[in-house]
Amino acid sequence: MKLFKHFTVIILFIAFSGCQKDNYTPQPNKVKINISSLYDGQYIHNRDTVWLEGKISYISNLHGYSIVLKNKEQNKELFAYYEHTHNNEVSFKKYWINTLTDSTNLLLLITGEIDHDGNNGIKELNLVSQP
Amino acid sequence: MKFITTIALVFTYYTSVACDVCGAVSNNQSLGILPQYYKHFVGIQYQYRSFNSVHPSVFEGMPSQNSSEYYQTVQIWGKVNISNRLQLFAFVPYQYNNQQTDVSSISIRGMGDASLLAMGTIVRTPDSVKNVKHLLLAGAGIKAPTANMNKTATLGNALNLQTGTGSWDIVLSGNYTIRNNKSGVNTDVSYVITTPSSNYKYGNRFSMGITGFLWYKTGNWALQPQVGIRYDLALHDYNNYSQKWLDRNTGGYISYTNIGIQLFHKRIGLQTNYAIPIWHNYAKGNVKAISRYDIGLLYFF
Repeated sequence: MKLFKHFTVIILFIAFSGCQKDNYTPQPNKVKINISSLYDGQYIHNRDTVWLEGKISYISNLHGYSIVLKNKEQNKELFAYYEHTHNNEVSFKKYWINTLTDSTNLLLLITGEIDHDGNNGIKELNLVSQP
Repeated sequence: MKFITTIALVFTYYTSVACDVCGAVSNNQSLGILPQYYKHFVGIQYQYRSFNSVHPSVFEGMPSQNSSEYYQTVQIWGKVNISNRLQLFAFVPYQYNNQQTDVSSISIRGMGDASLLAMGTIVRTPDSVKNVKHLLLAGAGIKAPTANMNKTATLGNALNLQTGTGSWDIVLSGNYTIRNNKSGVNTDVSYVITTPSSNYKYGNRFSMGITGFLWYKTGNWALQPQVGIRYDLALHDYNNYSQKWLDRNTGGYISYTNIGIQLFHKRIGLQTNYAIPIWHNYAKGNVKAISRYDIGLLYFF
């Protein structure tokens, strides 16, 4: 009888500890993206080495991030980098050499992915390329 | 012949990961069938496990990443009888983990998480009984975060190559054996209650196995073939424990069938076991167990 009582207590304890509460709510607005090497509206010139440097953080694990630089007028990708990660905070440091000879507007998109369901935080920066 | 064996109080330790759909699921191990006529033993064990994983891309339009994970563990372990009713087990693993993708191969090696387990004898048929004998053991233990976080495995799928979990875990274990002179059946259950580390909490783990065995003895030699089935279940991980954010891509179950043999000669024991998965659904089906085998040497004193 004593053994049965102990067994019951253990089973109840295991059942209780196996309950899993789930409050998951994606909060893409809590993704903080800081681009330290560039500012909005910055001019870059042909043959310039453009450093894409900064930090992404979230209140939980990030699942990945991407860095995409586009020719805004042609909607053409000039540079793209994708990284799968599982940290709350990641630093990035990449570069792109400007080979454009025309004056054109560029768009830098930094995206922090917070799950596998397409939830993410995005920071955009407008740049101007000049010969 | 006074020869009572204690079977497989299956103790479980884990090399889980903070990557939701990566390989490296649970690392379960059995103590095997241990003769009780010596009070203490020390042993060395080698274990190999392999998995294939698919990591769906988080980026729209990008392909999934495939990888294979190989885990090799060399472990020093032992048992000390504190009294007639209490046994202490200790485990100190060293791990070599490797992950191969289409474009890279990463290896991490280092000490794993050490564990301590105390098992008490709840029911034991006296040696004077000649027919069916029963042995019921139950106990608890802890797994300490003794492994070092390896900095080369902090990105992407490589996270699951870490040699430890970083958390203190509580282990509950029970083991029941019924046997006669030539054969027996063992049932073991273990449950691991994890605690959070850096706000990440691995899901609790449940493991249950049933093993049938035969027993042959000639002179100083004894042979014990065995066959069994095991079911391992892992609950979901919390990737933000303070907020109770459950990661439903983690957790799942794997069921193995296994075959093994143990050989004893005087104070020396040799044990080996091979297991293949029969059913599994881990990390939403993205992780497939391939095979698992172990071999170990024991010295009784």
